[in-house]
Amino acid sequence: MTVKGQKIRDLNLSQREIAMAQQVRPQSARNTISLKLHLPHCTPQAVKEATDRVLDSADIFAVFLQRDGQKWRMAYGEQKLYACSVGEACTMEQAENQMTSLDRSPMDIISENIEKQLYHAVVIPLLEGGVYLYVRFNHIIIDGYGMSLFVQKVLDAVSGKEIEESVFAKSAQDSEAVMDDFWRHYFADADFEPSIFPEINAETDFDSITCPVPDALMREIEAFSHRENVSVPYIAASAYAVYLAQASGKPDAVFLMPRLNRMPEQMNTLGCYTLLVPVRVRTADAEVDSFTGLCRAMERASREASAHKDVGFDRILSVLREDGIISDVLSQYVFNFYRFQYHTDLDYSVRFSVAGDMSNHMTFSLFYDKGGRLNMRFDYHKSVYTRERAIHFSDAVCAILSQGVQENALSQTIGAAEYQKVTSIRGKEITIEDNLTIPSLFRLAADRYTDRPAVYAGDDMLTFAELDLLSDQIACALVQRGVKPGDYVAFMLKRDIHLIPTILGIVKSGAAFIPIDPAYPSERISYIMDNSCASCLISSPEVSISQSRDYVDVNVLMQQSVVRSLLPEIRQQQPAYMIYTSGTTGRPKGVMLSHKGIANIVHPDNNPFNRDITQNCHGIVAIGSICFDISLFELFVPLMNGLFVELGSEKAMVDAGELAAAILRHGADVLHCTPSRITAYLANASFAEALGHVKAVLAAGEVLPGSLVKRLHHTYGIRIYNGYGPTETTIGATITEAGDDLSIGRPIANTGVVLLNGAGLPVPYGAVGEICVYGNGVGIGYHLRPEETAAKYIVWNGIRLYRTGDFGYFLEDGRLIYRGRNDRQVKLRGLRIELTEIENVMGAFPGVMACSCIVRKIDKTDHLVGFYTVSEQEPVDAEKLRAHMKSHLTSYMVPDILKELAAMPQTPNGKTDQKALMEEPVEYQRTYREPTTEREKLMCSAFEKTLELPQVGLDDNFFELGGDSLSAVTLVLCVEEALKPPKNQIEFGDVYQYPTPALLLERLYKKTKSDKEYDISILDYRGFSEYLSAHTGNKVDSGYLGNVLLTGATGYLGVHILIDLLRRPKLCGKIICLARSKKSLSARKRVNSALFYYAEEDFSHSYGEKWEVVEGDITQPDLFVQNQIGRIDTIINSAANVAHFSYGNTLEAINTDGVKNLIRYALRENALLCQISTISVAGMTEKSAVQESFDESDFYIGQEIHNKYIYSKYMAEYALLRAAVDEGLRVKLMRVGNLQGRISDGEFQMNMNSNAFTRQFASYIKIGAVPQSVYEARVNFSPVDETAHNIVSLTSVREAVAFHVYPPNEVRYADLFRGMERLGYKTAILPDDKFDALLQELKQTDEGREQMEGLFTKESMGAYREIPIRQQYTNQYLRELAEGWSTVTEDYINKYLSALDGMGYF
Amino acid sequence: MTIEKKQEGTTLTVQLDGRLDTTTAPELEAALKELGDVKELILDFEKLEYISSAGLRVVLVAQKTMNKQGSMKVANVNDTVMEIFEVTGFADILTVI
Repeated sequence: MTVKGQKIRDLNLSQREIAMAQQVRPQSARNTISLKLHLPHCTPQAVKEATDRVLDSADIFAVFLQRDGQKWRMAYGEQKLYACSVGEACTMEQAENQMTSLDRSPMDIISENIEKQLYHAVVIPLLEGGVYLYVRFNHIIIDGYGMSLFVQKVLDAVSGKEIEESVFAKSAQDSEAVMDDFWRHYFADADFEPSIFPEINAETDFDSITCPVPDALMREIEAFSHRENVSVPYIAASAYAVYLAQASGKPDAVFLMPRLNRMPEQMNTLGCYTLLVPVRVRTADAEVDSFTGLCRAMERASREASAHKDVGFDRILSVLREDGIISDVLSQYVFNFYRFQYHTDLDYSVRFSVAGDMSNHMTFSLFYDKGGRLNMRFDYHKSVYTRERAIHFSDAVCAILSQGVQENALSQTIGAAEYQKVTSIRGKEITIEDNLTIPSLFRLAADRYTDRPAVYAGDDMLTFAELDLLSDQIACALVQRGVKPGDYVAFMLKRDIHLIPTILGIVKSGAAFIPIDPAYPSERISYIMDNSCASCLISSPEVSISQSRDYVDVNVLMQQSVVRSLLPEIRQQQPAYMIYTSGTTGRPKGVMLSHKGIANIVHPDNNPFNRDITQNCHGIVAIGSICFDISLFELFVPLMNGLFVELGSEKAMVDAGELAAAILRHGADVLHCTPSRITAYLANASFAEALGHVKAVLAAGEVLPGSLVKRLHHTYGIRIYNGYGPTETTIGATITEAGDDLSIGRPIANTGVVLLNGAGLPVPYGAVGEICVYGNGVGIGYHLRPEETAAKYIVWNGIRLYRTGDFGYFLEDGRLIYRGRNDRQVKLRGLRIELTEIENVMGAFPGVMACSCIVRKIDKTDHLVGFYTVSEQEPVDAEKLRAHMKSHLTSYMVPDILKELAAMPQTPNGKTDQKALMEEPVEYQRTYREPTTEREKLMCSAFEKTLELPQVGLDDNFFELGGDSLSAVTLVLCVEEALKPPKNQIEFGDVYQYPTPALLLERLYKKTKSDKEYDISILDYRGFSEYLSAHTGNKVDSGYLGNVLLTGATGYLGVHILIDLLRRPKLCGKIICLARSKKSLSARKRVNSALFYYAEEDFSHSYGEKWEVVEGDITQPDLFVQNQIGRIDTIINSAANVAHFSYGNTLEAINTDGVKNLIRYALRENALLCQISTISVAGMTEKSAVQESFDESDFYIGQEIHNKYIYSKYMAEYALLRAAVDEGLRVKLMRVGNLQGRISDGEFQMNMNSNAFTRQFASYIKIGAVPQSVYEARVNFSPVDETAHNIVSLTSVREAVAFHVYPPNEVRYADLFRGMERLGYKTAILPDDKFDALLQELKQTDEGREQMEGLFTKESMGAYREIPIRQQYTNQYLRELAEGWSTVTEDYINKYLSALDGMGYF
Repeated sequence: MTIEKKQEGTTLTVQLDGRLDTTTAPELEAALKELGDVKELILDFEKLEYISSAGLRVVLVAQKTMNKQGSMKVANVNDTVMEIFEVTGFADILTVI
């Protein structure tokens, strides 16, 4: 067909929005949608021809994209760009797999030179008969409706009908009206969550489930629709909204809905017109009291939204971001309704996939199949949804629909199976007899452990029998004074030998005890005494504050003789104690707890911690304040199970040395301590030593930093437990297994946890909800506060439970993750931030001990501030910590200020004192650095323009100033426009990596680093020179390498080392290649592929026996993903990042830190470590310096290093030599030169462009000129295969450490240029000044800059020169081994240059 | 390696099965010698297991030829070969579908 009208057209609004999303990830499968049409009775040829007719009928299939500056435009080709192909016949199942994999493959849609089609059509003949037609489109040319239309047209064409021509015109309305106010108003007071589930893994894949709506339900829905006069899609959307709102615990639901935007005459046009709109609806409201009410609200909400769609989704997002209504994502949920009815006599079935288009978590699509049956499809992203979770989702929507249309009610949230799951999360069931109370349990212990020590306090000790007797005396004395069951008795005592008998005495008298800390203010003590109506206060003359009030002297009580018959019967349900906690009103409130909870929690089988200490330990040091219930855990669990309690003094509670002494005094081996306290104390040497005697630690009450867990475990072999529980449910509700630093564990015995939303309905499994606890520990309530009791202790489904006010969610394995109280969630610059989440990341950094994050106002602006303390052994570099946080958190969650504290301020009960942190002095300077050069000014103004800010300085961070992923695209375009950098030099991802104008400029123009950056003069070189000089060179003693671990085997040199080893099997034992997997490619596949690429051999016959590939990464401390390789005798480290310029720490991570990991491994294995290094470590010197040279026995000779890559390699050598001198590591250093094509056939490295020399050489060729000085110079030229061979040979040499592995003769540039001339590339030889002038000229144009690009990477040397390198003995060794270097011949140069040319390099 | 050619009008589809290396590359080169009036060349790599540097050069030669008389597409590239396309920069030169 011919195309009418203009040949080039701007994108319409729908298309622009899609294009925008595509620019974010240009190579992805995003924005592709596909159809799968099954035609069981058609022939492949007929379907192919029909499809081609449809492809011919519509102009969109001749469209390809062009870039015009910032804009993308549609260009029209003469005819369709691509015909439908016919695949090979296969089974239905194979066809399905093929189509699924096509759905996931990237669709590259824009190219500078090639007209890339925006669709792909294939007919797959089926062995079962019939065909599948698979057509995949880029969303830019077609929408969901258009796809249905395409199917109809194919069906028509197959039936031989005429196909109408389709011309894609502009959308009905494309005005981009200003409707900001409408959208502001639409979202005013919106209260919703953009997503329900936290991500559970790093999956990038998606999947879907489809389920037909059951017939009965479908009839109900249709009846409801008819009766209430609402259409079916609104009914389904309402059910969706109920789910979203209820699952997130918010009143509102927000989802996105694609809306048709076609004029009536466009209903038969193939093209893209759809616009996405957000729909917001309130599901719980005065007006919305029934399902009908909600459906009407839904209809209204989506109509209103739809009427204002023309503004464009991106505009809506930016308005909402501006107003702080959303931070980043508006909603992860999409709702689709397909209403297309097909007309055909053919037998067919069709499915659509929007999966390629999927960047959100869940898309719910509603459609009718050809039988007229209603179907639901749920496309889900696997990073968030498991299949089970998706099925639960679908069940929930059905359950809500079913209740809605049948009962017109709204109380359903999840389906039956999921309901069963979330309401049965309980701990172990163990039998606790009804008569067990604190007195009866202690009596049992006293009978059993009679003469064992029960309590130590200072110099005093009580056995179990003595403690029993003393507490009986106190109990009898109280009874004689008229105390009776149900009374309260307060005590205020020092931490001495009287304390525990008093507690037991009070409960034995039938009363409940109230602990009072003598350090409390007098007013608080009076309030507690009045409020509790306590019968009496037990104290002693040593407690000074008690002197001002009435009290009973504990010493007097202990004089009483015992008459056990006086003591009353105690019931399990009666109050055992009352603890005052701070109340919301500012007045403390008393929490009443019964014996039942204590009887449960002290059971030896109650939880992992109890099981551990009752089986493996002897005694505990108790340092918890007696006013917090956790102290009862440290007293009662040991005492009821025969362990002793070392009652720590007041001083031991705050002093590490004193606590250490308490641990050691009688051999206690259990400690309960908050993480921040234990962290602070670790700095104390005697405490650290005392920890050696501790076996188990309970570290409850705060985030448990991973580094603390590891440190306690590795250094001291301590098993550390974390626990969670409010006072109101008797001390604890969940406890972890030992060493779990992620979760707060699982419910303890006879206890359950259910997560509820604000309406008291359970949230879906995996979603965040309020932690509600039920079971034996649930307390009696608040003293004299019936309303608060009723609000917090509720009866839910017949069970009494306590709403903690804390939030959490369950992992797939059933462990509970703590998300903090709602007040740990803050809003900063409109962004919602979970402080606990930031702290978790901070705490995971090696060396960070305690940490806390707060929002502080500094100079009228809110800033995130992170405080941390560090361990003495492992100092923390603030910049590395920042980098770590940047890699784990979105940028706005990385604190602006990180401050190391000597100690974390603590509240009296050992928790971090947030108030004190608010006062801690911090400095934040957002210093405005003014742009001075033209380029800097342009860059800053591009930032200003994008962010709509009046002033942006060189060091201002794009994301800190409110930039986000969408504005990053704009920034890239603005920068391209303003600076016109060489093509392809700026990418979207760069903005993230280089977020300030200065960094981005550096990225673009690669400024050389300042001289002082890499100061190597300060390192400790003691012993190096002696070590490096140990060589003879006369007599060579070489041997067997044993088993070899080879890293970097997928790299150019690495693969040639592997080939050399495989070709010389007698030289070594088994070869283990350590390689990383990449995307879907396994490590083994990658090594095989590299072997085949270079050697065309796969060596698979000897795989497993002679060699093996193991997945791993040298940047990981454990190296191997699975640690099951055998003995290693020699390590050859060929892994390296060879990028000469890089921001961030990737060079260091691989080239230096990776080597450090290998050193540790080599020391452990007693293996020889051979490091592939570079001759560039010789560095540079000032031009004026005295002539010096660098040979094999040299390392630091006063050179300077100005390049990050060389520095990373230098530091690796340094680490190796240090380990060699200090720890006896056996080391070989192979310093190699400029690695070039193979001597055998000239073959060059796969990643041609990463070699600085060839890039530079290619630039001269592209420019067609070379400066005289270069032409006459020579260059080091090391054929890779020979280099690899010589490295292997030299590794087996017993003596000598360092070798300079490169051929002694250099290659003349002139020979290379002459070789190029033979290939038809002529190069002019220009005097240096003429050449420079030419470069100045070339810089003016894009094309010129592109040509000279290889010369940019050459460092400007200024006043420096390279230090000459010498080979003192390497070649002598090679001669002894009968090895050496081939002469570089003209033939070799020709092969080398042809190899490059054949790859289109020039 | 086996090479299978299918021509429909001016579209030539060449399916490769096996490994493309120094030995088999000349076969492919020969198969692509006479492209005559072919406007669209599709290299179907679905069954191509590995590719060596020699194989890669032939693909480039084909692309250069087709640049003059039509277009070329490389279809069904597996992950192993795709990684090589990416590392060598061929992913930018070829139209991979």
